[in-house]
Amino acid sequence: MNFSVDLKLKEANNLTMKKNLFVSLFAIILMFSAQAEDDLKAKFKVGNLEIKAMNALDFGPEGILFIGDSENGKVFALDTKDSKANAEAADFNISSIDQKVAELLGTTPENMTISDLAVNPISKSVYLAVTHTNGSSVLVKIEDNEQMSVVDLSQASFDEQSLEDAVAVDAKDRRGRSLRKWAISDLNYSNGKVMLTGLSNKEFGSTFRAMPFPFDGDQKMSSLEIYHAAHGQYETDSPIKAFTTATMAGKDYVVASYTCTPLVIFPASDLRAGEHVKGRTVAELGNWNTPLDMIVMQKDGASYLLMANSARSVMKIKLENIENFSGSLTERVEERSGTAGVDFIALPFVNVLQLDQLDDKRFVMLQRKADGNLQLWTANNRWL
Amino acid sequence: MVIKAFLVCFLGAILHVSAQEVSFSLIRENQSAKALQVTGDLPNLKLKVAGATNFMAGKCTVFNGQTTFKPYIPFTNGLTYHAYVQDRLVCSFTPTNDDKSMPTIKAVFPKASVLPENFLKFYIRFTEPMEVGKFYDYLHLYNQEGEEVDRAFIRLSPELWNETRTLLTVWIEPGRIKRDLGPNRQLGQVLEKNKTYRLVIDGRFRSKQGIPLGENYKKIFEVGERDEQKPTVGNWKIESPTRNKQERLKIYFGEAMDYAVTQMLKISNERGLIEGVWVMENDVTIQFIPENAWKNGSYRLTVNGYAEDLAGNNFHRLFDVDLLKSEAEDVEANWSVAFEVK
Repeated sequence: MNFSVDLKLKEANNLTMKKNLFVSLFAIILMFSAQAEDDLKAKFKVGNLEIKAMNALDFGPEGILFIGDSENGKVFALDTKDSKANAEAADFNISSIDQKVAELLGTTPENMTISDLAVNPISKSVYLAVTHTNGSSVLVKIEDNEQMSVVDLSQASFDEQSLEDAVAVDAKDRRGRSLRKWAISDLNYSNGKVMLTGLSNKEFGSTFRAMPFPFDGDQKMSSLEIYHAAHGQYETDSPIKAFTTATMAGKDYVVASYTCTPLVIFPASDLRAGEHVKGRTVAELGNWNTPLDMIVMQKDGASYLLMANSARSVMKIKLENIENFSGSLTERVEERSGTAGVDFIALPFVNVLQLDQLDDKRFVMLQRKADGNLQLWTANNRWL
Repeated sequence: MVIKAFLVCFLGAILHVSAQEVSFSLIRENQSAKALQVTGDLPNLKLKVAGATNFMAGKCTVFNGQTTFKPYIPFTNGLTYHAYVQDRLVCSFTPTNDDKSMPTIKAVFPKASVLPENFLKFYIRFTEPMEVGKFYDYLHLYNQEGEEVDRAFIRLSPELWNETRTLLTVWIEPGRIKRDLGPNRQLGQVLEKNKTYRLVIDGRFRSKQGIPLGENYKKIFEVGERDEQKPTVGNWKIESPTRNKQERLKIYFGEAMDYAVTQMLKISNERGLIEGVWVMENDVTIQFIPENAWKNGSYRLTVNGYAEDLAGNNFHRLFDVDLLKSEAEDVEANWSVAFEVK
């Protein structure tokens, strides 16, 4: 910081003083933002980012994309260098997006799957994790609803955090390979932490991990076990399929949806190593259904949870209702496909596979239409 | 440049002979066509799949009179590609797979023909690495009336493959097994006691190389009692080996165990871990084949407490705990049992 600026200001006229003050403040802000950027990316290296399986994506600050790779057993933090602010982003509306992505990759839609979708909150570009049936994964970027490209990771700037240390080391098979596979089912960045949920091919249970970013090898929450209750009588743990973070009454919570349908919340402050954390079951979201993805949107000072499902339409739940719902579920639900707990509203969006927030008022969805067409499109907060 | 891959001149189906204006070859690696190499300096070389509207992405490099186009994922076997220079078709090719190894299902675990009503997991062992992201379209469960059981399995994304993509874990819908959850209350168990079921894996499911299984795989099993007991080493019987011999150690679990138990056991003595291989003889018996001959003395067999029985009950706790019955949770990380070699 240049302190001589302050001395000169005393002799200047008022107008010049204001101008200089503005310039100084601007310089300080720039300096601090550059410093912050340096801090977050200080340990990044440049090289070939070899991703084996791109299972989950989420954006952090400054255009950093977190990529969960189950095959490598790692989380990567990629500097997308896609940090030009785009305040006037156009709606995304691309029909047959699987066909277009397949053409870009030189294959056909039946040979690939879009595993996840994330919107860069700065540039508003959409990023897709695409997996070929042969196991290859690529990152596809879509800008301004038009330009589609593959992100070249051969000279990427990135950092990585291994998950292996957090997994018990097992005996190997005849060829020295571990039988274990820890598949990342969801990943979110919030308040300086990358959080992951995973499914194991060996044990049936919840695995929730959180690690600070920038990465420092610390995974204190690796042994966390989260339980939820079924109607007060049965306590069980189960893998979390999708989760997000939300602030309710000034307190940070993790909102998680399980493979066996309950919606459970637990305070972020409860997530401590080795703790037997019992989440609060606030809803059962109906049968024939697997949660796929969830986000939180705001409108008129209220927050809403939006959740995409395998067999039901997108659900909207007012967070205030979750906050006010006391205790765990005790009431039985008799009717088929009935639900219980907090109220939710079914939005008229069925077969939504992925969703993410585009800006304060809009969200994008990857939706399989009735005619089989896979469409990327944008909805606004009039639905909230 | 060191290229581990070997070059194979393309001799496969050439669909448009008149269009082959350039000489070319495919660079293959691990049974996949990774790049197209064309003779000549063609920096504007572009490719698309036959019938596609848009060109595909890839890196085009020109070196020593050769142009190489490398897509971000290998060319897909069986698809036809057209290469253009300034809208002029210069060559077409259809990568084929030289490795015609037909995949088969080597085993499905558990091997038992009677499974508990609250059975949780199948493990399917293939002879070849398989394709990813498509398996659940080919997996079916039929009841004894021949009707498909709807919503029998949970469709997980990502699928639970091992590293080599030869072993897949699939779960019976857990919401229907767990007592008193919505799906369990309204739809009931997936498997009903005293009934017979047929697990079918469609023969159209393909290997990583795109070759289908060919024939449908079938496993027929009956459903027995619900398993509401935690596994315990107290029920295990160890058939001790003889010293100075490389004999197999046999363990009888006393109940059928989940296949993953093969990776959750270890044997040690005062000198440390005993190296060897675990082989599941059947669901209730496992063998340990040591690398070296046994020495006399005391040994300890240890099991990771998260090893499960066929109903997902582990050594710590039951799959779902009835709080009204105050079923206590065991907190030990591992369980062990001692044995002697004489």
